[in-house]
Amino acid sequence: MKLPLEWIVTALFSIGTLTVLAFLFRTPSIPTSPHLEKHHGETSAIAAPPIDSIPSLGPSFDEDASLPAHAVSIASYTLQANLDTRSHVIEGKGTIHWVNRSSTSITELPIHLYANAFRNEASRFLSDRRPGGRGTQRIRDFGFIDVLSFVVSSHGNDNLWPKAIRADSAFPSDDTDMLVPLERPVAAGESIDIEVAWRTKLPSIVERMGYHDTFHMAAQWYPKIAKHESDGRFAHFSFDRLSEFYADFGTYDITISVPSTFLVGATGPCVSDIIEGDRRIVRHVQADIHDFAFAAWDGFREVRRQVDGIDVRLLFPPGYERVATEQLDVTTFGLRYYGKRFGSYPYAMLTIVHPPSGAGEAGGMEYPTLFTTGGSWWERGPNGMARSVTLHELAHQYFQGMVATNEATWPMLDEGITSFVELDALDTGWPDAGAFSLSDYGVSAATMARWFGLTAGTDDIIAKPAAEFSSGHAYARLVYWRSALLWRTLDRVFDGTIMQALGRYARRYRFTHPEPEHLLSAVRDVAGKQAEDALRISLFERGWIDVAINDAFCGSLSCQAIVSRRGNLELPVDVLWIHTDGSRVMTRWEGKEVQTTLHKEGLIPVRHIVLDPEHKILLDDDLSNNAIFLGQRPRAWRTRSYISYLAILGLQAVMP
Amino acid sequence: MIAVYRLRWLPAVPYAMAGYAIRLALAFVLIHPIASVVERTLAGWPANEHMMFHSGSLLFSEVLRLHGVAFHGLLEQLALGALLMIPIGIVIHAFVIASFVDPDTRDLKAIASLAIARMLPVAVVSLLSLLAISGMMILSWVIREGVRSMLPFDTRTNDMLSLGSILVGALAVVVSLVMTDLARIATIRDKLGVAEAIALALHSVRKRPFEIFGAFGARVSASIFLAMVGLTFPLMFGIETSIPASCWIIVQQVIVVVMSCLRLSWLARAASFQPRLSQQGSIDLEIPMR
Repeated sequence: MKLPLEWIVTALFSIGTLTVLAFLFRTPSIPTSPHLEKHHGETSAIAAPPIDSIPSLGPSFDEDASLPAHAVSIASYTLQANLDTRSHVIEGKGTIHWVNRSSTSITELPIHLYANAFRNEASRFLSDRRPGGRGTQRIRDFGFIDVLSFVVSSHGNDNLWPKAIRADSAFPSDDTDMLVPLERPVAAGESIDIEVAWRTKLPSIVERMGYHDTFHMAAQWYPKIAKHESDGRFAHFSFDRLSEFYADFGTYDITISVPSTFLVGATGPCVSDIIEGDRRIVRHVQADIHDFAFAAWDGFREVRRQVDGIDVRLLFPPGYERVATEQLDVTTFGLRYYGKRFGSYPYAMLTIVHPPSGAGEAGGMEYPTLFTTGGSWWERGPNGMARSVTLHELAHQYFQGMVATNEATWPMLDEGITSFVELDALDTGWPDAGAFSLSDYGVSAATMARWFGLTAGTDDIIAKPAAEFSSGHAYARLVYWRSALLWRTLDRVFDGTIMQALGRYARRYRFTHPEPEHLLSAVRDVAGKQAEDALRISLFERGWIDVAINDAFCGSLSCQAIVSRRGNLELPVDVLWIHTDGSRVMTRWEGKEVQTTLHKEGLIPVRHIVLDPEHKILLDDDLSNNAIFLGQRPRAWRTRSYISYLAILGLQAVMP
Repeated sequence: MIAVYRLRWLPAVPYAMAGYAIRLALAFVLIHPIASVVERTLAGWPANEHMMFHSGSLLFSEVLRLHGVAFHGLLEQLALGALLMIPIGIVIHAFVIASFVDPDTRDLKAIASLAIARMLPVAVVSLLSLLAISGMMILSWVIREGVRSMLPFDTRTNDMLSLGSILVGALAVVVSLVMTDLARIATIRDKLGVAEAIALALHSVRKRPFEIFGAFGARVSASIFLAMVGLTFPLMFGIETSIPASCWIIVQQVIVVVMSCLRLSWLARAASFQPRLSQQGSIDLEIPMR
């Protein structure tokens, strides 16, 4: 009976191995924060003040009672879109209601036609040869948007579009930024209705938008009026590959027609969903937003959940049921977590779209009340991108969705802050394992941010327009990772006041368009001048820091440590003195001097001196010089054991 | 007879232990620069190398970040060390198998003489094995890509196909490894050329597949399980615990020794499956019952 016995042994050991693997990759539970009651203030939105006269915000903005009920509406869209899923064409028409809320009259309207970034290789987007970042893959099928008609109804019946010209002279072949001369000026306070018709051909998925098989992601699919600033200027720009968007708030009333077998995920709540023949016609209406996107696919599965009165809807590909449930759990956690810090989520609806494989470039993007996520069906816990992408894009509902900064000019105001709050949520929800988990061992989100954020070093400043970064890599490392790292550092060094400042900033500037100085003033308001200075240097002056112990001399009664601060950031540093009997004393070095000598008196000899023992200064360029041991160097036997075991296992393959 | 069978691999133990000693020494030499870098980087911290294993991996990543370039070179050195071990591994294999020719012999000179005389065909069989495994990996990948291009758009199906192709590739590798060991035995014990040895191995596999793969699977699965336990037991007990480093070393090295014994056990068992060639060169298909 030897034969079955050996097969049984094989089976048992195989099961044992699988059990060990299952133990290692067991999924950490998803926490939920305490239930938070939604309550909105009744105040109306107020515009961001001019940056040269920013007043103190005051603690009233630490509470949700200060939140505005609505945005100031400037550009509202009532549109009908018919999607042909075979030709990937959207035929659109409708009305844009636009109000001149500036103090000056305007004579021309800049219109963004972002889909023209994919019209041909001559566009600014596709001719971009900078390495790294998204949108670098070769396009298989070009896309475009053609405006067929542009009539300002109160000015007459003339189609103004033939007179439209390219607005960005630096990119003469680019059609993403157009200027339409008006027949007569629109005075301050006056409003106009523009009857518009257009045709958008979606490209094969390049970045954010396009189609893949029958999956369609319609983003930036309609003619969009550029953001009108309070001084009368328009913030318009041709579409750069690393840049994102900027627009005015308004109400979007959008009716979409797709084949009846398709499901649609779109911005805002669906107010009607009817089948007419072989077409499904859905209507979505949402106020207080500045963009509208939708996804349509005949392969979508759907799951919904009510989270504190918010209807969360997730559309996902078949086979992703478990990941979808986990993403809903993460969203539940995130809505409560961010809501507590930055004010409750004001909309009734949140839609999440998980694009199918092959359409991954449509994932990881934020739109008001809708975001696209990513990740594979087999992902578990933090091992993968489903959790972090979901938390990141959800955070964008606040930083850019509601605090609607200019993403093209100041990407650090949305991507940078979002990366930080995502990191904070991961580190809070899954301490020490926000990025990766293996049994009880993990990699924290802060560790990941440090890895990538320090790679960029001080190559360039963070606070500058996306288009000015030398590569996609530099943009990602500086704007996302290094930003997250510096925010995290300041928040830890200044005892959580930075997060409080962000909360105040997010509430005060909800439904407005703040600039960096507004953010800095909020930080000064809550965390003080030193924190503001550190943030300013970090963002605008390539701030960096490396605290180090250069030497130590300890006698029987006193101990001296020569310490130095390299870099242009001045941050207070905790200093830990550990005595030979194990007792500990914590002192503080203000970190203002480039080099100084720290003294410690006492009868018990000092054994260890450690700068920043709690790793508050995550931005510290080198942690190996933060500590000194006044004794014989200890041996790394665990490391030797583990690595040699791995090496021997490897060599076992070639030797009995 | 069972007792005799179980002890059949004992004569090969000294050679396997010699191989283990070489591996252990080489491993400690090769990993010394890495361990030294870790020691020096974290020496100042109160928890010294324990910082590497603190959850969150901040200092672990710091060591990698600060010394990534050096570690890259050191890993290449490790790979080079493994390459250099291949010929030594062939020698050890030859000695181990030669010791099975007559389990009762204690004549080291005779064993060495046989092993050295048959070194070339053993080396060729080993090389062919490497080529076969590489070929099977490539074939598995080509088939997967071919099937994938014909499949409808479905991520999960594609991923399952990849997993399936990996499993099929792994099975092919197992077959190749079994064949290689049987052929090595034939080249030494029966003094066959490479082609004849492979033919004999193929004959054996076709004759008694379930017994042969059962014997191989039991030992390999046990080895994989033990290797996993060695890798993960610090995680199971908490990687930051005060379990002394000597415990880590002892447990892990005991596992390596047991794995070596399992390997010897398999080779001895494989030799028992292989029909012996008669003096006239014909295959004796009678396999003694045990």
